[in-house]
Amino acid sequence: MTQYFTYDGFALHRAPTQVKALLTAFIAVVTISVGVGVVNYQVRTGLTAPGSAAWYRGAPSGSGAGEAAARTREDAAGGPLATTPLREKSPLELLDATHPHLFNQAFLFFVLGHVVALCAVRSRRKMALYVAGFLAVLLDTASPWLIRYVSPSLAWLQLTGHALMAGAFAGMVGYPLREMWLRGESGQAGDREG
Amino acid sequence: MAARRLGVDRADEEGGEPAGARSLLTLFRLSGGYRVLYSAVLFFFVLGHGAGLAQQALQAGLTPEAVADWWLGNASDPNAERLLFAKEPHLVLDAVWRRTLSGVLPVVVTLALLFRSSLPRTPFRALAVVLVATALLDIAAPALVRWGGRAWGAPALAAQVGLAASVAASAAVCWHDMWLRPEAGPRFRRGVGEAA
Repeated sequence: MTQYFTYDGFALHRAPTQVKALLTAFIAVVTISVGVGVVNYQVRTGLTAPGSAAWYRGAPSGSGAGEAAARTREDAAGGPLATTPLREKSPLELLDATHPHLFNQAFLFFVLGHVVALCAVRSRRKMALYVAGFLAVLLDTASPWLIRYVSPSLAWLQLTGHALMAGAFAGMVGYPLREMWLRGESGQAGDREG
Repeated sequence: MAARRLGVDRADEEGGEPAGARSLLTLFRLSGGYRVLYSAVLFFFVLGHGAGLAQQALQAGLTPEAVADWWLGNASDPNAERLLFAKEPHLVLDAVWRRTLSGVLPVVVTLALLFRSSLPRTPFRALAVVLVATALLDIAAPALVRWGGRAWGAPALAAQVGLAASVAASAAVCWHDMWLRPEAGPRFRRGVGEAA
């Protein structure tokens, strides 16, 4: 993407339609994938601090915190089995999530960051989005370990990371979409540096 | 001085060819935003490979025998601390598939950034070869061990460790260029051939 930087007069809102279509399709698909990720967290933790603590540290069935994130599995006939009590996650189980997240989430913000870099948005705002995105990735990967091995009271850290990631993601898809489809030729030419 | 500001370090080494678009996009002349992007993604790639090694260590251990046991099982070993069964073919292929898709991208990105560094030609080529070779071997490792035998345990472990080390080395080179190199200076202004 950085080679676009050298094209004199390149602006995302004036990019060829096929480039806009490609970027829009990419943004649409990653939005769906992030949405699925949010649902994943909601199913497991209820997107609550008690739910997060219970998911990583375990909670007996019937406990208040455990019920917020308890899973119910169906047997072969389609009837519900007993609600599964949550057990504490082992280091390997945490790593099974941490390992792919470190690569995939970072790469996602890396790619989105390049798209944002082509937008006519002030450099400080871009920088804020980049920092927020990667900080959110750090929080998202570190918080399970902190909740599990330091204190359940750090579950708020994970929720903070979720909110930060949602905000950064919204900015990183919102600005390019606005630039490509809502900003006309007469739109203000902002700072197109990264 | 003007020629130097056009990022001709590699061009000097290559005999003074004119600076083109590629040489204008060297790491040490990037704007702050791009430095943050590239530094952060490299940081997470290094962490990710470290997590992969930790994962291997917890799964079975960080020895060639442990790597072989993970894919081939150790049911015949009476001294095994933990019983492992041979991985089903679909699980092995699943691992290879995942590594092919998600393991290649970090290597490509790392290589692309390394290409934009001021690393001289010979070390760059050496590091690039190690990076690609270890990545390819790491991708194929589950299948090689599962169907090639225990002898592939050592190369598989060497590939994983080598890949992590080469990514870390590449990241260190890039970070040095972006933040510590004396010439790391003002932002590159688009449309202007010289750094501001």
